[in-house]
Amino acid sequence: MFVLAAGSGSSLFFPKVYDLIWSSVVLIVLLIVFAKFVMPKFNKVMDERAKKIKGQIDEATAMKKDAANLKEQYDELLGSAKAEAEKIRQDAKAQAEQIVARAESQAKAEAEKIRQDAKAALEAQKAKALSDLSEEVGNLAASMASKILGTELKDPSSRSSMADSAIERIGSEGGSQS
Amino acid sequence: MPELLLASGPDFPSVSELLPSAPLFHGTVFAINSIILIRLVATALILLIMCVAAARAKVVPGRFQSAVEWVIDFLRSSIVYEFLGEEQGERYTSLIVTLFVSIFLFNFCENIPGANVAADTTIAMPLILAIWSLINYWAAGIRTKGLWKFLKDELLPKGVPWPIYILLVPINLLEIIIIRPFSLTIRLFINMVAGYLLVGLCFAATQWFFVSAGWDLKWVGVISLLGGFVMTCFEMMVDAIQAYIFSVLTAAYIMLSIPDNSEVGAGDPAKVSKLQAKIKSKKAQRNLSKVKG
Repeated sequence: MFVLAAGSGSSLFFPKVYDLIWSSVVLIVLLIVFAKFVMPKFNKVMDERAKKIKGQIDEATAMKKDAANLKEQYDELLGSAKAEAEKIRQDAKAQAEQIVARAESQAKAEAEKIRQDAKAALEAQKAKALSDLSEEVGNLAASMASKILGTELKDPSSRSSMADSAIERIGSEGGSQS
Repeated sequence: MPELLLASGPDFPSVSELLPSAPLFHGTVFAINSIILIRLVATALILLIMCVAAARAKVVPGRFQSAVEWVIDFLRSSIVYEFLGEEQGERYTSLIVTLFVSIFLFNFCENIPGANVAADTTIAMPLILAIWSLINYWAAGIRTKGLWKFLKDELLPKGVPWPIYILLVPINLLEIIIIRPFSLTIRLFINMVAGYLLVGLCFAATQWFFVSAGWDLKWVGVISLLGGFVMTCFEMMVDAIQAYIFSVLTAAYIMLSIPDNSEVGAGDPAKVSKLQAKIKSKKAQRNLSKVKG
């Protein structure tokens, strides 16, 4: 049966009319169904998918952008809040320093005043004590002198001059002794 | 004599089996022989598969849809966009997909038990397919350039001294009218015939060695069976390759007919790299879509 008859071999290359017709019918049907239904449907689905993915990517990009904006705003707010806090802190510090300085100066002034008052009072008392003493010494000297002299120095001016000279003497003696 | 032959030798396939009689509608132009019947059944199956896939196509694809989409994507990016660019190529996607899917599944019938012969193992089917290819590249040329300009570009290539035209015009005319479709037809047809004979030879020999040969020769049947197995695998590859070649050549012929992209094949490096970058980005985009999907 392995016969390559010349007739059948070459007739292989001559298409039959019915074969041509069926081949054409088959091809036309395939072409039409593919062009009108299969490919448009697949293209539609694939485009839809691409669109959906693109939409999702766009959405993600927009969200990212929003987030970046929010962060920027937040950073800005945080920055200004920090600056404000710093300012408040500085103000408070300055104020505190001011208060302390004022209190200090006030205290100083008061202390000075107290010191001055005390000094004045002391001076006054000292002066009073001195005058009291000189009077007392004068009187004592006068009475002593009168007792010694037996005479009463009636004249107050002589009395005081006597007292003065007596004091001076006592003073110079005290000074030479010391 | 035939009985003697049958008894003595294997029932090898012959090309006469590829010229079957047409019992259905015998004698009319709608006669159907066994190969045409296989072709009609194959067509029905292709339509069923593709229509079911298309009808059930969803944005989030299943496995089957992904497989079909992978084929469409592959043809679109590696044939249509590669040769015709995205703008001009889009309108030919359907043509290329139809050609590839149909030819591949027609070819594949030769590996299906019961059919055992490719649905395009008569010259008529490859011829009609080739004629459709011819119509398309002529139409593409006429649509984009006009008939006169198309013929001028095809028959009178630039940069050739005029006396050569005396030789070139008939050769080129023959090329675009006869040689291109003829080569498409013969390449596909002969591959299918050869496949049929090769696989048939292996299995017929196996049958003969196992059943009719003496015990001393039965082991040869193992070799021929193995050969049949290998040849079947080989033919599956050939089926795909032939479908691919037919589609690629159709796209290439269309590319040669239309104006802008005709230089791409001729090797304008800037344009080629631009096209490749375009295809790459498209691929990346589609890959991304696959990953997301």
